[in-house]
Parts: sequence; C-alpha cells; structure tokens
Amino acid sequence: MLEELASTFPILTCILFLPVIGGVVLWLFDDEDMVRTSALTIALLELALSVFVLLRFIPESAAMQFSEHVPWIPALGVSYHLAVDGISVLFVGLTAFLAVLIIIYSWDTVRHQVKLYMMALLALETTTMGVFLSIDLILFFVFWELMLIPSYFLIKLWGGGAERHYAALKFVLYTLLGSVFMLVGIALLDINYHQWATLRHIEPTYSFDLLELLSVPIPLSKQILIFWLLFLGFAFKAPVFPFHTWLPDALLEGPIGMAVVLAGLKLGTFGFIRFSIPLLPDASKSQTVVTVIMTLGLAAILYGAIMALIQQDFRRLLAFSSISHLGFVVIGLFALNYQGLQGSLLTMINLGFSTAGLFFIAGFLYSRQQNTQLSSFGGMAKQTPLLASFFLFIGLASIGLPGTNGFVGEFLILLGTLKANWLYGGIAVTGVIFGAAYFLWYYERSMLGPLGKAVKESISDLHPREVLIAAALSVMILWIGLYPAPFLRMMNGSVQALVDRLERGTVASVESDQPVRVD
Amino acid sequence: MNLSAPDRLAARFQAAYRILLNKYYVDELYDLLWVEPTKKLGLLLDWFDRTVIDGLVHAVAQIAELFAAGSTWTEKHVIYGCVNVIGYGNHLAARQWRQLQSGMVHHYAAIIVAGLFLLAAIIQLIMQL
Repeated sequence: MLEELASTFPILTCILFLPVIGGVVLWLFDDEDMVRTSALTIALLELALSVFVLLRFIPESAAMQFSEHVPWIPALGVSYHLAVDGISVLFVGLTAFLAVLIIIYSWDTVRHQVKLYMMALLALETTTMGVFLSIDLILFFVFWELMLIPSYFLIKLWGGGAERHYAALKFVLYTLLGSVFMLVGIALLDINYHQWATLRHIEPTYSFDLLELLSVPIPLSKQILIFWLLFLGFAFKAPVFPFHTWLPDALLEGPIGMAVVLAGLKLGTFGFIRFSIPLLPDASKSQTVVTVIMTLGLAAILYGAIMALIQQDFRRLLAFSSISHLGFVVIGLFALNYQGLQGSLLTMINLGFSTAGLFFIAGFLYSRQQNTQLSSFGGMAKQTPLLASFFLFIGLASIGLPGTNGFVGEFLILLGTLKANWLYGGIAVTGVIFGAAYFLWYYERSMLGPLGKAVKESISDLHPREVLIAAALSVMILWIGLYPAPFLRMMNGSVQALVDRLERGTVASVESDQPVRVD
Repeated sequence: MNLSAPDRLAARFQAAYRILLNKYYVDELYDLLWVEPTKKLGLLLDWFDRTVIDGLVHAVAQIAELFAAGSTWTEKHVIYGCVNVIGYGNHLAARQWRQLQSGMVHHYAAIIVAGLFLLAAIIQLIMQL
C-alpha cells in the first residue's frame, strides 16, 4: 500500500486553479500588452509554485506527497483527490515550464484575439495540470475531457493551415472516441471494487480512488478486458501507431503553441504508467499484452522514423519523429523492469524539452518564411547562425547524442528492453540510426550548403525573446544530459514501487497485507 | 611527355586509379543498397499512411455520417409521422366531439347525469379492488 503524505497548505489546488482563475482575470484587461504581461506573470507564478513543489518533494520515496482529499460525490465514491509522486511530479514542472515558453513565443506571433488566445492557453494549462495531479479516476477523466475544449479552439481559431477546421474536429473526435472506451474501463474498475468491498463490508462500497483501487484484487480475465479498454483511451491520445493520423494534421494545421503542448506533454503514455500498469499488473505482464504492445511500439519506432525521413514539411517530420519516439517510450514501459520504466519516464520528460524545442524552432522558421516546407529553406546557417546552432543542438538532443538528455533516457530504455528480450532491443536500436538519418538529412538540406532560392535576403537571426526560449531549453537539455541524478532520484522510489507491484500482482499484494501465521 | 609520377601512375593503371578515386565505390554501394530503398519505402509508407490508415479513419467517419443520415430520415418520416398521425387523429376526433356542444340545456343536464353515474361506477369499481 502506498504511503500518503498530506499537505498542510493546499499547494496543488493552487497550482491547479491558478492558471484558469488568472485567465478569467485577463478578461478585465483591454490593452493587449497588458494581457500579455499578465498572462506571463500568471505563468511565471505557476512555474514558481511548481518549482517549490519540486524542491520540497522528498526524493527516493514512493509516497503520494502534498496529498489533498475532499469528498466530492460521496454516494458514487468520487472524491477531489490530488497528489504527486515520483511518476507525476516532474510533469508538473515541465507543464509550467513549457507554458511560460509558449507565452513568450506567442508574444508577437499571435496577433489577433490575443486575450482569448491567452485565456485558452491558461485554461489548457489548468486541465493539463489536472490530468497530472488527479489521483481519483473520475477527476482525472474530467480534466482529460475538459482539455479538448481549449485545444479545439486553439487549433481552429489560431491555426495557420487551411485545413485547421478539419484538423481540430478530427483531433477532438478521435480523442473522444478513445476516452469513451476508457470510461467503460474506469466503470469496470469501480464495479470490481464495489463487489469486493460489499463482500468484506467495507465502507464506502464505491470508489474511484487510485489508492483504494490498488488495494483490491482483480481477476486476470477482468484485468485484461479493462487493460484493453484503458489502452484504447491512452493509445488514441498518445498516439500509438496505428491510431496516430490525427497527430500530423493537428501539428501541421494548429498553432505552434498547441503543437508544443501536444508533442511535449506525453499524456497518453503517462496514462499507461500512472493507471494501466499499477492497477492491472497481471494483465500488463501477460504474454499476449506484452507481445501486442511491443509489436506496436517497435512498428511505431521504425514506421515513424522511415516516414520522417521523406517528409518535406518540417512539422510533419516532427509529427512522425514524435510517433517514433513514443514507440521507444512504449517499449520501455512494457519491458516492465526498472531501467525500462525509469528510461521511459525520463524520455517523456526529455521529449518535453527536445521535441517541444524543435517545434519552437519550427515556429522560428515559420515566422521567417511563413511555412515550414523544405523548399523555403536552404543554406540558412550563413544568414541565421544562432538559429542554425540552436536547431542543431536541440536536434542532437532529440537524436540522443551522449551529453544531452535524449541519450540518458534512450539508453535506459534500450538497456531495459534488451534485458527483457534481446530481439525487441535489437530491433529498437535500428530506430536510433533512422532517427539520426532523418534529422541530419533535413538539417543538411535546410541549413547547410548554398543559400536557397526562396530564402529572403533580409532574413533576420533570432531576436532576444527567441534566444531566451532556445537557451532555456538548451540549459535543461544539458542539465539532464550531464547530471540526471536529481531527476532520476525523484522518480526512483515510485519506479521501484511499481516494479514490486508488477512482481506481486494484485492478488498477492492484498494477501501480503494480512499477518502471516508462523507455526 | 613530361608527366609527374602520380600522373604517370594514373595513366598506366587507369582502372585502379578510378576505383581509388571513387573510394572503392562504397558510398555508391550504400546508396544503392540502403539509402535509396529506404527512401522508396518511406514514400510507400507515406502513401499507406494517407490512403489506408487515414482511409480507415475516414471510413469510420463516413459510417457515422451514414447512420446520422439514416436516423435523420427515421426522425423525419417515422417519428414525425407518428406524431402527425396523433395530431391529425385528435383533429378528426375533435370535429366529431364538437357536435356534442349543441347549446341546449337539457342535453347538458343529461350528459352531467350520465357522467355522475359513470363516476360512481368507477369509484365503486376502485373500492372493490
């Protein structure tokens, strides 16, 4: 049973609602610069709160920390339960960090309906935080669904592409379809708890609380059914191959800010490690599940990478590169050992700096040439040396060059996978080569060589705001790359608890709570 | 002829010179074996992604649209039809019942008396149950 450390001050509630309340306050301002400044202030405050939580977080512990628990709908066993542990705490910091960068990026690139844009962005930040902080499954589901509303408007109203209406609708319907299956899975978990609690006369008999659901046994056949239902919800969102076709559309048609959120915050794979694997450990390690998911993960790695190789549009390339990286995360998770889980968790955080960083680079390119097609570039390094340098650096992190964050995560994943099954590991390694190929080839054609015909003579290098964004990302990339210990220490306790849980399964973990008779 | 040593050697061993100049054609071999096939595979997968996978997604959307069209038709013709039958039936019944409104007091008195008996009978029936 996981330990819970209650918080005396409701700091997680503050983190959760600060952005959306701040967003409402923005409504009062008419001056656009005032709106931008206030939005940035709110995002910085949010970052400060998140950093405070990160600093006060007890590392090497599996406990749920800063816990807040208030009954919400007691008759149904739904509660307002927030907490962070080693699995979720880094995502809170990452979300707050990216939100600040997106607002800085949007400073002069978003020109119309600035107020509404900032409000949507802050609302999106609240709902994303909600997904990471919720321990109650219904509360989690509420934020998971609410997230679609600001996302829909961000893509539809501020997207740059001609097909943005189509992309927004496709994204929402796709995700919604997946979450319907997930909701059924959550209901089945609740019913299973109810049956167990009724037999043992435990009050309340209904619960959606992760910690309580973890304490009851679930028969294997039921676990497998629930696993696939939750899988659909998380796989559509992640997206796991072959449920990925909304991603290239949403990333290409939507605004850069939205693309950074979609590519940088890996909510789908977070769902796997937060709910699927701990709640359904016996299903997660059953032969069929592991084989199917490993196959999908490996297919995603190679499919995504080979697709990325031939893309002419940089944002489409990044979409497929994301799919390829998610394949790594998935195989790391379902290697189901310490290194694999730790590597996947770290890679999810890393992608928030490297892939999201490359989307900012795509944004810099976009604001110079009004598109991200390869034909608009060529030989840019001469005209824009700073842009080209940051592009290369963040790109190398995305490839996983030693010394950058990508290496640490990818190495742990490959180590874990090779430990679990050398064949899977062997196939995954080839993905690393493709990863280098598609990025370097695109970089060579867009940045090096003679100046492209379409490149304007007056093209300018990064201005201070853009340098600030790229530098902030580069610092994080180097920090995790050279000294990952503080980040890994935060995860270790929870990852170890997860590995133990996988070994024991749901039935055994219940039995071990009872006193052992010694004759 | 006044060629330097390298030129003389190049002229004498032309085949060897060309192979060395082109680095044993290793790059060309890699291009032929790996790079070009991978690019071709990429193009094939791109077609597959847009046509087959996204095609399936669009097929799901179209099936949903088909169902929506079907239920719209049902709504319009079956459900509204039923509602209209009830409405028109009422209209017809009302035309008949209107004739009860004869305006003669003794007709009304007779109907009231008949109604009272009916009411009493119903109450009796309910009490028995």
